[in-house]
Amino acid sequence: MNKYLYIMRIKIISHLAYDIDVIFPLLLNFVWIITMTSIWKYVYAQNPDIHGVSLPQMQTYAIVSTLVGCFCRHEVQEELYYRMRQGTIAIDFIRPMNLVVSWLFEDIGNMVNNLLKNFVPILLFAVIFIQVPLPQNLSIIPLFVLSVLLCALLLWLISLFFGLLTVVWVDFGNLGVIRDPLLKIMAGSFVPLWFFPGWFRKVSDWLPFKYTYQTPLSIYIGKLSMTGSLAAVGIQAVWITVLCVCMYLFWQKVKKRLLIQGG
Amino acid sequence: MRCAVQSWFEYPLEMLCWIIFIPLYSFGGLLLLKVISTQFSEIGGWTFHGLAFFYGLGIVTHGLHVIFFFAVWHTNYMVLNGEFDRILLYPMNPFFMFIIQSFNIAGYIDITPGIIIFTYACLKLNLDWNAVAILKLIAVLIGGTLIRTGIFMIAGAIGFFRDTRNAVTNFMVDFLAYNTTAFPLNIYPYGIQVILTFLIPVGFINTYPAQDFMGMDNTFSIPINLSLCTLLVGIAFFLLAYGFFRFGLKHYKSTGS
Repeated sequence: MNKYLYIMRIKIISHLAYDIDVIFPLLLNFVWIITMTSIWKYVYAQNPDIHGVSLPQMQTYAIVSTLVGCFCRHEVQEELYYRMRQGTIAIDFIRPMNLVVSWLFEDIGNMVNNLLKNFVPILLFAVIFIQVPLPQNLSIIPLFVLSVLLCALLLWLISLFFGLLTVVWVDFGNLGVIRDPLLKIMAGSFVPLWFFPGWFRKVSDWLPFKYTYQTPLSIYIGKLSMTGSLAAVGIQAVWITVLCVCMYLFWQKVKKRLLIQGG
Repeated sequence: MRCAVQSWFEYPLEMLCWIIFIPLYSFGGLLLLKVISTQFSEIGGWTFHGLAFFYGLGIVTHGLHVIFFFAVWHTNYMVLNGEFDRILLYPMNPFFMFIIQSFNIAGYIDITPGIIIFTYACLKLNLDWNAVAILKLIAVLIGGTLIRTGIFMIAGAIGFFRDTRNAVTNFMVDFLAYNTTAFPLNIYPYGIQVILTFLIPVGFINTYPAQDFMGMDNTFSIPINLSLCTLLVGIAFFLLAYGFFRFGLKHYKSTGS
């Protein structure tokens, strides 16, 4: 266990190396909050109640989405891409630990780091300039926290999938660039999926993306009923199980392939 | 320049990845605009086709910027790697050398979805394309490209003063792509519109030109023709950014090695 915690600690330290690298990503989060809440104000000025959600609820959605987004920033995909390109992945295989688990701990390190660095400033910014992002119902908080953790794990598995895909298809370059716009639209981190046309929602029901951002956020603003929330969290867990099994099989395949490539 | 083109074909399949990603991102943004614009009928005068015109214009200037000035995105990495030293050794204007090194033919992938969206919007809007309108469009495209380049030059030049892993540039990439050229500025509160017009002139990239072409009012009632204004602001801002870049260059200390 200690060796994994060490990896986590190294990640946290290496991210605090340059001050500008801390300030500007934070600034971007502020800008996002302003953009999203401005758009909702603009839209709601015409129509005070859209799909049963009010403007304060929507602003809370935007703020909490930014907070969840800054927490769930994983690097496994980018890391795999660079290690693959530079060949350092070979060294990883020599290390006496389970590689996938060590990558997971690297990203847990990233998440702890993001939480420490960004959570308080973003929350303060939102409280001062927009509003206090209170949940609809305080009793929902434990379920929300659970849902966020599942969301983080689900996002990590999606990143791992694209990362392993990068390892298999080295020539395709950085596949993360395909993942990001997919997530931006299909996960409802910005515009919730209930705004989208019916066919789009039908497709998204059968994909895991919707269960990343939208589920915890809808629970938080009270868009989902209690039973609906429990069901959604259940589906999150099902997706995680499915993806875990798939990733395990995929990883076994990738490992064999890599070893063969190395001669 | 030939080398720069060839190095892009080193990984031909990587190109394919970008060919999938960039349109996905561009049309994804358009889908968001469509979804949002169905929620309001006529506020601020933006219809969906007007927004498509605005959005397409933004992407076309982005494409032009990426084709001609992609080098400025990498200033910080070149400083950190020490590659910038090599450029300073050439017996030419370092900035010119810097730009010429990375003429980026792959920018056609960026510009194509923009042209498609822009053409679609023009067809739907039934704009009158007389000589004046075409001249205005050219002025807007040049101005918008120069503003974008100026922004990235300033962002990159910050790396001459403080070490950074491209944080300012990455900030600007997202800031321009998602926050300011993807949505018209008049959705923002007044104070922020002031910043985005007079401090960082992103409004002139596509919000004001689109409003000009559609005969809409702008927040600040700028008296000069907005398209002409874009060109002037573009040139002025580019020169300012160039000055800052040169100033930064004087401060530049090699990372050594």
